[in-house]
Amino acid sequence: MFDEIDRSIIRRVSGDIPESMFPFRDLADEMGIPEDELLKRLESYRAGGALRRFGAVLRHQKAGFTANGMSIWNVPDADVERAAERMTACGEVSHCYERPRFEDWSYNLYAMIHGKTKDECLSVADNISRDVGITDYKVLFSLREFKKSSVEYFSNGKQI
Amino acid sequence: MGESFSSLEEKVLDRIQTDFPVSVDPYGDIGRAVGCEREEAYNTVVDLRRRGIIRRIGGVFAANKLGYESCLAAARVDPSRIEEVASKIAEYPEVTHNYEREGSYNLWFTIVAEGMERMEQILNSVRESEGVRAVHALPAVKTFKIRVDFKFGGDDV
Repeated sequence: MFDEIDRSIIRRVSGDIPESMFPFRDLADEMGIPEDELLKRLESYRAGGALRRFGAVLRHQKAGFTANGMSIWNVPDADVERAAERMTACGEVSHCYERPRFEDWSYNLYAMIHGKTKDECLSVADNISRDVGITDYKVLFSLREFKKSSVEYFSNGKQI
Repeated sequence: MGESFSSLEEKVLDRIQTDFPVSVDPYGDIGRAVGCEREEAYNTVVDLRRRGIIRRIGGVFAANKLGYESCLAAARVDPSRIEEVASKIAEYPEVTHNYEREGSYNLWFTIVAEGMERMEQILNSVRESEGVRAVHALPAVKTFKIRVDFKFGGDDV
């Protein structure tokens, strides 16, 4: 499915493209392939669904979105779709997933809320709560960020 | 904080978050979309990088389409050991994010690993760490939304 050249390209662009004016020309030089081949391969990853997006990833804190609350919700299984629909309709919600429950962990719906302040995030969650009628929820803000990195696919690094 | 953006910067940020053009002349394309010359589009992006607003420009891939397994995990860690455990977890290149959060499950991390076996290996290694009381693997049963562009300007670009 992905040959050696694909794996190299994917590894390389899961990082940062060159800062030059013509980054794909320079990337193609780096990889030792013609530029149009590089562009075609990238488009094929997009068409196949492996490449979700090619774009700028921001440092949200720097861009002013300093508050990031992971809201977690205990939603009856039958209501999950409806609740998720309401959450994803929010511009402030970036990610929304259903995840498994455990004996000591009853939350099954997770929505990442971003805002300029914590209060903003809490208020978004409060509105969602009232609209979907779910009161068993929490918003977990991060206390410390120990690591935040981009995943490097097909890396040649040693496993630990 | 206190970052503010010009109207052009907002337009550029909205444009390139959604879709940095994969073309022979990406900055020319951006310029055409936002209404400025190639040079100015390029200089704007260079400046945004320098200011640390842009973390990187590149591909965001669907892990599972590349044969990778990904999941969120939550750990209940002795508060006195949390830094030790966090720095051990951070050593794994497969661990992309690692945050301390409020609550009894106080250490959250994401794993993107090449296969379930490797995923389990990492999770078990965390489980066996000193000070770790429990670890829940929380893979996405269903994904409702993944979107990470933050709208700056009002215009559609």
